[in-house]
Amino acid sequence: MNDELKDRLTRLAGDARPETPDVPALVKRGRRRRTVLRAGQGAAVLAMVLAVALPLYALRPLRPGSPVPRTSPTMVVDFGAARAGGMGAHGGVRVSYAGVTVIPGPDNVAGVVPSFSALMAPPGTPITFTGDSAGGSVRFAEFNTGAISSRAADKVPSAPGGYAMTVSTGWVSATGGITIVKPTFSTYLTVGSVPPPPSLAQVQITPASFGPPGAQSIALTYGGQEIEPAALQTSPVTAREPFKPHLMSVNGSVPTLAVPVGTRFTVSGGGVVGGQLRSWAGATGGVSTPRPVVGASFDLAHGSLAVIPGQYELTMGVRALNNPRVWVTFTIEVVSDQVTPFPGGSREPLHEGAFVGEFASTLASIKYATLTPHLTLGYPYAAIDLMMTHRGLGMDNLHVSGVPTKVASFPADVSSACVATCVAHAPTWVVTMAGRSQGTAVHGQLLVQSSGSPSRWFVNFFGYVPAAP
Amino acid sequence: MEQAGFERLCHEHYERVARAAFLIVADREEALDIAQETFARAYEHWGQVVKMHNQAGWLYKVASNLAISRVRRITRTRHHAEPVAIDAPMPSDPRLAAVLAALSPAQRAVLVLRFYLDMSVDATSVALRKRPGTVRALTSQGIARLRDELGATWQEVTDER
Repeated sequence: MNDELKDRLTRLAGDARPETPDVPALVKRGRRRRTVLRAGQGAAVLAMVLAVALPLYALRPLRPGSPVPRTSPTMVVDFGAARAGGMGAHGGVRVSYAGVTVIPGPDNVAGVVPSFSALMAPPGTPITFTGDSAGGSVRFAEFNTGAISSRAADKVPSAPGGYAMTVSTGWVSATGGITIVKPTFSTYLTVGSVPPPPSLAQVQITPASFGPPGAQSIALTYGGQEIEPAALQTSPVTAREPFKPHLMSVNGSVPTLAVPVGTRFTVSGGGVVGGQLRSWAGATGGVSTPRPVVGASFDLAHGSLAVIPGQYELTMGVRALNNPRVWVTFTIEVVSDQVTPFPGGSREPLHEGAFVGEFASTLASIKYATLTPHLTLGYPYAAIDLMMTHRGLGMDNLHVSGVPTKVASFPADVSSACVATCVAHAPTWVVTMAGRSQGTAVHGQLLVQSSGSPSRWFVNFFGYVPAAP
Repeated sequence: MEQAGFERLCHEHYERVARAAFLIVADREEALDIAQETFARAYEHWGQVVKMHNQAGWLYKVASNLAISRVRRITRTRHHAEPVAIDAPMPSDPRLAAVLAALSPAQRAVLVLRFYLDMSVDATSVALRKRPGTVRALTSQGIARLRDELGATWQEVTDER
C-alpha cells in the first residue's frame, strides 16, 4: 500500500533528526555564494569584452603619416659635425630616444660613445643617423657571428637577435649593437675605435745640445703641443741598461699622458729607435706585453693592448751612433669616454637590477681568465646563453659554475665570437675561460641571456694572459 | 524583508528537505549538509525563488539532485577508499534502509519524491530532469525491488498514481 510505504519512509526519514535550521548561518553561506557568483559573472563579462576588444585594438590602423606605433619613437644617433684634422675631435655622438638624450656625448673626443643602457625600443623602431656624415656608410652585421652584411641604414632589423652596426662618417668610426629581444627590446651602441689623424703624438729624437758626440735627446709632442720640458724632467730616467752619465742629454719621462684610444705615435729623428709598449696591470703590476717597435712608427690603435683604456708604459730606446742604448719611459694613460674604466673591465647593465656585483679579479697575471659576475637571475635553474666576443684569447673551454661547457675553439688574435649554452643551478655563477694563447692580451665582451627572462646583460672584460713560466 | 521571507521558508521546509535527502543518501551528516546547501542556494537566488509559485518544489528539486550527485560521488570514492564505519546508528527500519541502499540513486530519488513527498510523475520528472516515461520506469523498478525484498505485503503497492 502506498500509505504503508509512506509510513515506513517517514519513519525511516526520522532517523535524519534534523535540527532547527540555523538561518543566520544559511544566510551567510548564501550571501557568500552570491558574491562568488557575481564575481564570476563579472569576470566572464570582462573576458568577453577583452576577447572582442583586444583583437580589434591590435588591428587598429596606424595614424596617417606615422609609420611606427606611437610607442615607438625614432631613435636618433647624432654624430655631430665631423671635421677633419685636429686631435681626434670629430664631434660628439649623442643618442636620443623618445626625445630624450640618453648620453650626452662629449663634443671633442672622438669615438666616445659608451654603451648606453635602459634604452628599450620595440622592433621596427627606425634609427636615424644624423650629423655630418658625408661619405659615411652604415652597415649592420650579425653581432655574434661576425658575419657582416650590408643593409640600408633605414632598415632596422626587427627580428629578435643581436645586430651590430658600423658607422663610418669621415673620421668617425663607430661600432655598436642593436639587440632586439622579445618581449622587451634593448639597444646599445658602443663606439669601438676611431681611426685618428696621424701624428697625434710624436716622439722626436734630436741631437742633444750637450753631451758627447752622437748623444740624442727625446721630446714628446702630442696634439701639436710639446710636452713641457719641466715635465720631462720631473721623473727619473728608467734605465734598462747600466746607467751612463754621459748620456744625460736624454731626459726624463712623462708622468701621465692622456691620449685617446687610437693615438698614433710616430718617432722621428736620428738614431736607431726601438721600443716597447708595456701595460700596467694595476696593483699586480709588472706584467707586460713587449711590443717591439718596428721601424719608427707605431700606434696604439693596432697594439694588442692599447685599444683598451688603461695605463701603459711607452719605453723608447735610442741608440745613437757610437753610443750605448738608453731607454726613456713615458707613462701613457689611454683614455676613452667610458665612464669608469676600472681594472678588470667595465660593466654596463642593460636592464636595471639585472646585474649586481663585479669581477672578482682582473685577467692579468693569472693563467686562467676568471670572471665572476654575480648575476641575480631570478630564475635559479634557467638555461643561460653565453655569447662572447673576444680578441686575443684562443678559447679552449668555458666553465660555468664548474660545469664544463663545450665551446668551439677560436684562433687567437682574431676577433671571434662564441656561443655557449649552459645551465646554472644557482643565481650566482662563475665563468672561467681558459686561454691557450698565453702571453697575449684578451678583451671582449661577455653576453649573458637567460632563457627564462627577457633580460640580457653584457660585461666588458679585458686583461692579459701571461706566458707560461 | 528578504531575510524574513527566507526565514519563513526555512522553518516551513528545512526539516522535510533534510529528511528527504536522508532517504536518498542514507547518511545523516550528508543529508544535513545537503539541506543547508539547498537553502544557501535558495538565498543565493532569492530574487528568483521568491517569485516562484512552488518554492517547495524547487527546494526538493535542488535537494534531490544534490543528493543523487552526493550518492554517486560517495559510491565512486568508496570503491577506492575505506568501507563505511560500522558504528553507524542502526536505522529504525533496517530492511527498508537496506532495500533503498540497494537501489540506484535515481530509483531511490524517484521513490522518495513520489511516495514520501507525494509528488506526481510529472512533478518528479521536472525535479529530476527526466522524462515521465523514465520516471515511471524507475518507479516500477524500485517497487519491484521492494516487492522482492520486503515480501507479499507489498504486493498491493501500485506504481501508478
